[in-house]
Amino acid sequence: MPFLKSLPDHANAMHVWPLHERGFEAWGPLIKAVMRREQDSEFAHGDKELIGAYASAMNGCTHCYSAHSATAVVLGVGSELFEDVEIDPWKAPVDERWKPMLAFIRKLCREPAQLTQSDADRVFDAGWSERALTDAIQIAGAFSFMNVMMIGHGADQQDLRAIGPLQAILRDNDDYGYATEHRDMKKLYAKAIERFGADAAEESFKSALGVMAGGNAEINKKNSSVLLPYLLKLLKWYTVFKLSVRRAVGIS
Amino acid sequence: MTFFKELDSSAGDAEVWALNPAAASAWGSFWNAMMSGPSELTDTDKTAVVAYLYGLHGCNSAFEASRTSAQLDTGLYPFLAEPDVELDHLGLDDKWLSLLRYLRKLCLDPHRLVQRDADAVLAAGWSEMTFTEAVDISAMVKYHTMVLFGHGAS
Repeated sequence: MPFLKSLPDHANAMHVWPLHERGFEAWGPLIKAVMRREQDSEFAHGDKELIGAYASAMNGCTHCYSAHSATAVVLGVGSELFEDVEIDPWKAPVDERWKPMLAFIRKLCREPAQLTQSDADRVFDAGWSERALTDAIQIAGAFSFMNVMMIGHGADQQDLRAIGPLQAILRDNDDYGYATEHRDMKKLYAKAIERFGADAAEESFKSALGVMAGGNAEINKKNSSVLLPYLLKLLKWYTVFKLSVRRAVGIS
Repeated sequence: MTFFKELDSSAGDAEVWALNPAAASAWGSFWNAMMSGPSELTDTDKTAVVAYLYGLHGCNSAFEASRTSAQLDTGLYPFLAEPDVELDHLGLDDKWLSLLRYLRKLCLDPHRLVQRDADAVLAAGWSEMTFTEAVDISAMVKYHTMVLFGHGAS
């Protein structure tokens, strides 16, 4: 249950972020810089989601873990790890190469001051480059930011698994962050139908709408000049999106 | 001593961030966005909070750097003398005590935070805006310390 009266019971990041407009605006470029480096990264999109989801699990943030583990699975990461994510990483049902990486991330999240050269060397010995480890550290750090923000607001318990398919499509487009106005939702919806079928696409979009537009009423109550531009952007996007969905499914 | 051959053994914050120049640039803007703007907390207050959080995380280099660069007065900010010390014995006023207690728990024992903890911050006179600001700064410090610890540059 969120700790602030201005947050709704079902608060998620789309409700919490607008409480700090300056930070929200600056977060987009940072998370994109951390997550996008596909052309020369050893990690595929799914791997990055796996790292983010794993860090979120280690930090105990259901909100971020549920959304990003689901995204990782849609992007081709095996779901076995997520059946018991607390398992000792050295015994985890993942490729051998991933075990030292997961062990490093686990320690980085829970006992960072205890990390040693040996922890890093095990990662390198498994075949990962220094570049891969620095990317993993950045991803785990960025997700931990989100985890602490959500936990600190008492808004870390939402289960967002349903938005996995939509997020996966965004990742295919190298698209990150919470800003929505730049996205062509018609194309995204068409792509979702093509990839997952009409029912799954509709379910994911409905969930995403809940996540992305669910905060309107509460934000509106604030009647804040700081939040108003954000609200207007969101309402504009929501209206355009709703019309496009209705057209796409043949509702006049 | 850093964990990476690519980094000099004495590498610090700047060198670590330079491993991802795009992120380094975005991090600078993000930091400024989180630490500036209208607030109940002065710039020095925020720097003191950041230093305190570095101390709680055990990130000594960042703790000392932020404490000395801002020339923080441990008379005004007694929680900076020894961040590990229990806050109740420092003679803080109720307003600061409530906020720092919350941040300390968020840092060290986040899953034991309850509504009562947040209510204490607001009841002490802080606004919801400041509550959010302080939580978000804590999250930012967590991110930063992980980058430093992860590279062996703490």
